[in-house]
Amino acid sequence: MYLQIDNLHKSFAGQRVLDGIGFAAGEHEFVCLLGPSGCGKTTLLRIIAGLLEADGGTIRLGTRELTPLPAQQRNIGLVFQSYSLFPTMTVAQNIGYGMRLRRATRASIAARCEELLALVRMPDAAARYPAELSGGQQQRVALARALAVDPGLLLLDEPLSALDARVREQLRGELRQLQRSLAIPTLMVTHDQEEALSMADRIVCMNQGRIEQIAAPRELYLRPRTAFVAGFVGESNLLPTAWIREVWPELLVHRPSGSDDMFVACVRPEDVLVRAEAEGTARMGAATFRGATVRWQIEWRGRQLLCEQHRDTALAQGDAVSVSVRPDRCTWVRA
Amino acid sequence: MNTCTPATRVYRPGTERALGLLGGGLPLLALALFFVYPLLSIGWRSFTVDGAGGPTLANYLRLWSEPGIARAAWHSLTMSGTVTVLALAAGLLLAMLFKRSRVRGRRLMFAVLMLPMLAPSLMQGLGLLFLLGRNGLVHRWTGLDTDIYGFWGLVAANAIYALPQATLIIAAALERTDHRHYDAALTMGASPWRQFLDITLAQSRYGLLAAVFVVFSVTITDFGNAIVLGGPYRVLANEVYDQVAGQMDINMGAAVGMLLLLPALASLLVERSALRRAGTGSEHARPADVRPGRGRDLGLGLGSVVVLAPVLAVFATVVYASLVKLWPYRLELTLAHYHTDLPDGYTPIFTSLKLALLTALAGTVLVFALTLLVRRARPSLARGLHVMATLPAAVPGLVIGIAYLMSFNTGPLADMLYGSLFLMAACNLYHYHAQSYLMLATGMRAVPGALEDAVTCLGGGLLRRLRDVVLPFTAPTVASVFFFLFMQSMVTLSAVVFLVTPELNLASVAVMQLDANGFVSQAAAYATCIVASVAAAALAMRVCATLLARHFQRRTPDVA
Repeated sequence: MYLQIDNLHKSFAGQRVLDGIGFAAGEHEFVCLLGPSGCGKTTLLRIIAGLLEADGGTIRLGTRELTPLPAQQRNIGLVFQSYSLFPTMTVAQNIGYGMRLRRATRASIAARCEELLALVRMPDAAARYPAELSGGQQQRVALARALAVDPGLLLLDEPLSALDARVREQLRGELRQLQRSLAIPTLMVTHDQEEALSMADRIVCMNQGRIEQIAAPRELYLRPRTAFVAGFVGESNLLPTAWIREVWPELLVHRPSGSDDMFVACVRPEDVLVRAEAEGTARMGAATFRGATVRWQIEWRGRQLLCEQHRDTALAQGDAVSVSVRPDRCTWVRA
Repeated sequence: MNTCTPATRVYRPGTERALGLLGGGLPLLALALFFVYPLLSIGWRSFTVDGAGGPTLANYLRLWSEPGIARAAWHSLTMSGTVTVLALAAGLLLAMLFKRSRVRGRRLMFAVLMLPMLAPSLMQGLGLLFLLGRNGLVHRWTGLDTDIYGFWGLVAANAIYALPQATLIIAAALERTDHRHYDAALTMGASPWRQFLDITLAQSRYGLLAAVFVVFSVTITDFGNAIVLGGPYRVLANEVYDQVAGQMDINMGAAVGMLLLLPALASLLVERSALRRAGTGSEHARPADVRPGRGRDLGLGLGSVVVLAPVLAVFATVVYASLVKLWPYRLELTLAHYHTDLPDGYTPIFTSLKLALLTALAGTVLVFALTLLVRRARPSLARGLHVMATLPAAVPGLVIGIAYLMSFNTGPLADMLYGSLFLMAACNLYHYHAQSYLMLATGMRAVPGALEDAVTCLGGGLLRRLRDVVLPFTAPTVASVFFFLFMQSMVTLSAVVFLVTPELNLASVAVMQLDANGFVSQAAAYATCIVASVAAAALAMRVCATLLARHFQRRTPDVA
């Protein structure tokens, strides 16, 4: 693999923030580091960039051993949530900054700058100052600045989090397309599962300094391996073994062997099926309207189940219903 | 349990490491040599007696047995207490005028208020003498028997001296009060007076407390006014100066100096804990709009005129006195006193200017390097450095002066340093180190860390980060610190008075000597020159800071 990370450790004041982190990424791959705030994903990114020193472990990029190199010599492009452009430099000066440090000729800087501005769809912005640009435009310039020096790896630290919802949506698509066309290996940190699911080739899901699961977006959603991933990526009903044994014993077929509290069943809300039935033992609870769908709470056998329905269903709060699940839509995850 | 592979050290280029070492080491070395070492030696000397070797409490025991010192301590306390009450009341009035009224002419009033900060502290003393002395203007106009020497003269001079500082602190506290409190009070029907009691006073209580301690410690450690006006009413500053300069009993002077350290140290601690408690909840505070109120404006305006008139009168009188033939007998105007017949003429003023420039240049560089070091240091180290850097606030100028006298007058470094401009510059820098450091540390917080990281990732080293990120963002503050140090070096007296030599005299000391020898008109002329040069520097500072701020505001993105 192109990027190879092995057994990284980092502690701050005795507190472990990274604990044996290891994963690999291919030469053209878009990988997302996904996790809640404080899970260590930004620390990991800063260590890869060389802005922080790890307590142990190794990082390889292609044929190069990165670990002993200072950040200046790693040739990694970094884009921040806060844009972080030089306020006193024009857009063109911002983009050419890294090339000036490498003593590139004036002509080559100008040419590269023009090329990159076209790439990020801001061909006329060269002479403007960052303060005159919108957030989305500033982030495009920051991306162009990071790409100007032909980095061996592009690191994105929550690059879309400071933007408005609509701009964010649009930039997601552009960023993904740009990465595909440049075929540059990219590592993006995000806490937004929707962003990760829609952009990444593969997702590294982290929690409390450890990797919970590495998988393609579809796999991660459909086959979570731990209760944390099931709860963090999308929503799910997590049901204990004893309850399943009583209610839906047929779901036990796929259960890995182990004591009752080792595994729980994960059922996504859209896989819970309800049917209006006068003698049904379940009751429809409160409903939340979400546009295309409606999310219901269902009271059944002492538990609350989440259920997602098309907005046209003719059910009302208090209706008696029966509840079922298709066995192949249930995943057993580590508690 | 995981087995940890040992960390691979990151290789750093040699120049980068050398620069980092120099930039971090130099300010630390200077702090150790020119602040910690003198302070330790004055502490040690206060426990020794010449001739006897071991540590002894003899000096401190003599503090009790000598009636003069106990009396001076009592005088210092009552005088400072009175000044604190007066300056606080007047400061609150003026702060209300500037922040909570629509009185016209506030800018002019502010300029008058700032006068005492532009002059050596003995300027108030001189002005009061000219006005209210036995032969002062008031006596000559009314025939009343006036006598300004003593308690009330000292109180008046110190109150004028401390007034701008008290006002600035209280005004800053008023500014931090959130306008939403007033909106809420108004909707509940609170009268303006209730709002003043329940919001204005209550919300600024920590600012008021800080003002109390700053005024008290500034007053009790002041030197200039005590020398000019104290007369028969001797305070601790007189005792210290006489023990050292008069009786050459440096150890005894050290002991009295340690006594002066106590109130300042206590005030620093209280102020710090007060600030910590006041620090919460003001993040999103927006200053209140000032609503029209004629009664309020009339009251505040009249009160402020009453308070500020004496300040203006005192300074105007000094300038006037410098321009008349023979004060107070022949009042024809003349410039004769500006053609000084001092043996060394205006040399002291040029020496002062040179010293101020050196202090400002070297001081700004050193303090800048120190704040940079604190910014990049581990949290535990940064906290320790922060305490060290702000500790000088607790050390009165007199104590620093004596400490320097002890440490560099004799001993291994004396040949190199004693009587040099360099030593005086170090003395001034560490006298005003805390304020300069705090200004720059605050400015440094505006530097975006992510932009520094961006430079690093693009291949830039320490110098690039400084040039392209840190300096552009801190330039206005750097300019302010430069001029702050320049102005303080021009006017300070209490520390450098122990370091001047006949060959190397300073303007503020020359004023003191002229006054002591009866050349009052020339003292006034000298003082006026100092005020003029400091005022010019203050003006330059305003212009510089405004220009720099505007330059960056135009192009700084609006990042919350």
